[in-house]
Amino acid sequence: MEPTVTDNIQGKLGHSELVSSRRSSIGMMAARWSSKLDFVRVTLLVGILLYIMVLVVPLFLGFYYSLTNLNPLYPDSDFIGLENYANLLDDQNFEQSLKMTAMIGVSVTLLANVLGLIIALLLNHQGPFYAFLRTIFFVPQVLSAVIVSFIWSIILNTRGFLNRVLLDTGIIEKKIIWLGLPDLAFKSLVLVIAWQMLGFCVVVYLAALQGVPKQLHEAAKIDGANFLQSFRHVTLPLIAPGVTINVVLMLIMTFKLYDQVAVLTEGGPAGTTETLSYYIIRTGFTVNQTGYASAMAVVLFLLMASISGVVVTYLRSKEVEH
Amino acid sequence: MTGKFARIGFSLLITIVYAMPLYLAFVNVFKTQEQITRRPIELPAPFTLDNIETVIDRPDNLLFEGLKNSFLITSISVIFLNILSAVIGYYIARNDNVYTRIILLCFMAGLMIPPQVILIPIAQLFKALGLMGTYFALILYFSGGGLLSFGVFVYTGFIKTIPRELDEAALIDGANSFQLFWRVIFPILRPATATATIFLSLWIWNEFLIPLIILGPSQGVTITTGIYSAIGQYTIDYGQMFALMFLSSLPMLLFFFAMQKEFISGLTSGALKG
Repeated sequence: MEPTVTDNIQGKLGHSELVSSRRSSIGMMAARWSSKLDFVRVTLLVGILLYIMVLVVPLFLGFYYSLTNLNPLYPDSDFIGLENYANLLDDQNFEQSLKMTAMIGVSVTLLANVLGLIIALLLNHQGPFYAFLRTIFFVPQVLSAVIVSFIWSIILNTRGFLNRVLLDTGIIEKKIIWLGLPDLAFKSLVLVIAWQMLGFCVVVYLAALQGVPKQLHEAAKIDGANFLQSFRHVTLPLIAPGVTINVVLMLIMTFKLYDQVAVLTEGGPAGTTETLSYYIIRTGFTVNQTGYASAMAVVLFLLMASISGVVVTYLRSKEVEH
Repeated sequence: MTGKFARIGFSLLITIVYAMPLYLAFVNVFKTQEQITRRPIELPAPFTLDNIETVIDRPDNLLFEGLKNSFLITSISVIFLNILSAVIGYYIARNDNVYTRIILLCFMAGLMIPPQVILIPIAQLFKALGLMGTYFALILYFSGGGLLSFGVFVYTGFIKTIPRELDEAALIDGANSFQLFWRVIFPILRPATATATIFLSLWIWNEFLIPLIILGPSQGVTITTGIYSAIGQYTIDYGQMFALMFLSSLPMLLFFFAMQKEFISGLTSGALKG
C-alpha cells in the first residue's frame, strides 16, 4: 500500500513538475526566441536568404536547365538528360571560344604581371614625381571596361588614330585592319585588356614591394649577390602574395570576359575572338537556347572551380613568411 | 647621378606611352571633328566646347538620365550591401562555430563565380516573379550576389581584429543589439566601410552586362548601357563620343581623386591580406 501511495504521490509530483517545467521551458524558449530575433539576427537572416535567392538557387537552377531543352520561344521544355553536354563536344564554336578564353587569359596574365612588376620596381621610389606617375597607372582602374574599350576602338579601327599616325609618319603605306583579321583582332584584344589590368598589377606590386625590408637587400649585396640574384632570391619570394592575388584576379577576369569583346570585335571576325562568356550570353539571350547555354555555364563553373583551386594551392605553397 | 636621371627618364617615357590613350580621350573632347580625324595627337586648336554642349543638349537626355539611374542604383545597392555585410561579418566574427564557418565558406565561394554562370537562371527567376526589367531586380541582384560575398569578406576580416570586450562593456551598460551594433561597432568599422564602399561603388557603377540583361534594351539605361547603345548610333562623331565618355566618367574620377589615399590603401590592403 505504502509504496503505491508514495509512488502515486511521486508520480503526481513528477507529473506536475513535468508540466510546470514544460510550461517554463516554453516560456523560456519564447523569451529566448524573442531575444534572438534582434536586429543582428534578423539582418543576418535577410542577408542569407537574399544570397540564397540570388546566387545559390540560380546555381542549382542552372544545373537543372542544362539537362533540358528550355527555350523561351517555345511553351514547353523537356528533360533531355546529358544531350546538351554531348552536343557541346561537337560544337566547334564552343571549342573555339574555350581556346580563345584560355589564350587571352594566359597572354593577359603574363603581360600584365611581367610588365606590371617591372614598372612597379621602376616606380618604387620616394618623392612627388614618382607618386604622380603611380597615380596615372591607377586611373584606368576607375574607368569602366566599356569606356576603355571604346577609347581603344577609336584608336584601333581602320580609320582610327593609330593608322592615321602611322600613315602620316610614313611607317606604314596601307591601313592595317587591327580589329578585322583573326590574328590581329586577338592581339588587339589582349593589348586592350592587358593595358587596363596592368595598372592594377602595378598598384598591387608597389604595395607588396613596400613590405620588403631594406636590410635583406643589403645583406644580399654583402653576400655578393647581383641585382638579378637579389631579385630572384629576396624580392620575388617576399612579394609572392602579390603574385597570388594578381594571378587569381586575372583568372576571375578571364572567366567573365565580356565587355571588351562586345565593344571591340563583337566576337568577330567570324566568331574567332568569341570568349566562353560571350558565347554563353549570345546563346542564352540572343539565340535563346537557354538549356544549351546553361550546359556551357555549368562547364564554365566547373572549369573556374578546378583551375582556381589548383592555381591558388600552387601559388600559396610558394609564399614565405619573414 | 646618371643612374638617377636614367631612372627618371625611363619612368617618364613608360608612363607617357601608357597614358597615351587617356591623353587622347581627354584632349579630343575639346577639338572639332575635323581636327580630331586629321591630327588626333595635337593639342586643341581651336579649343571648342561644342562636343560637350551637344552631349548635354541631347534630346533623349541620355547623359543625365544615365547618370541619375546609375547614381540611384549604385548608392542604394551600396548602402544595402554595407549594412548586410557588416552585420553578417559581425555575426560570423563573433560566433565562431561550425555553422558560421559553413556560412563563411559559402560566401567565399560566391567571390569566384562568374556572373555568366547564374545570369541565365536568375533572368528566368526574375521573369517568373515579374521583376525582369525593373531597377528593383537590378538592386536585388547587386545586393545579394557575389558583391555581398566581397563585403562579408572585407568586414569579417576587419571585425576579427576588434576586441570583444567592447561588445561586452556595451551589453553591461544595457544596450540592445541594434544600439550595440550602430552606436558601438559600426563606427569602429570605418576603414572596412571605406574599402567596401569604394570597391562596390566602382564595380556597380561600371557594370555593363548585368544591367544590359536585367534592364533589357528599352527599359531605361545606366550610364554604361546608355553609352553602349548611344555610341552604336553615331560611331563616326568622335568628338561627341569622347565628350560623352569624359562626362560619364567624371563622377568616378572625381571620387577617385578626392579619396586617392583610401582607394590605393583599400585596394592593396584588401588584395594583399586576402
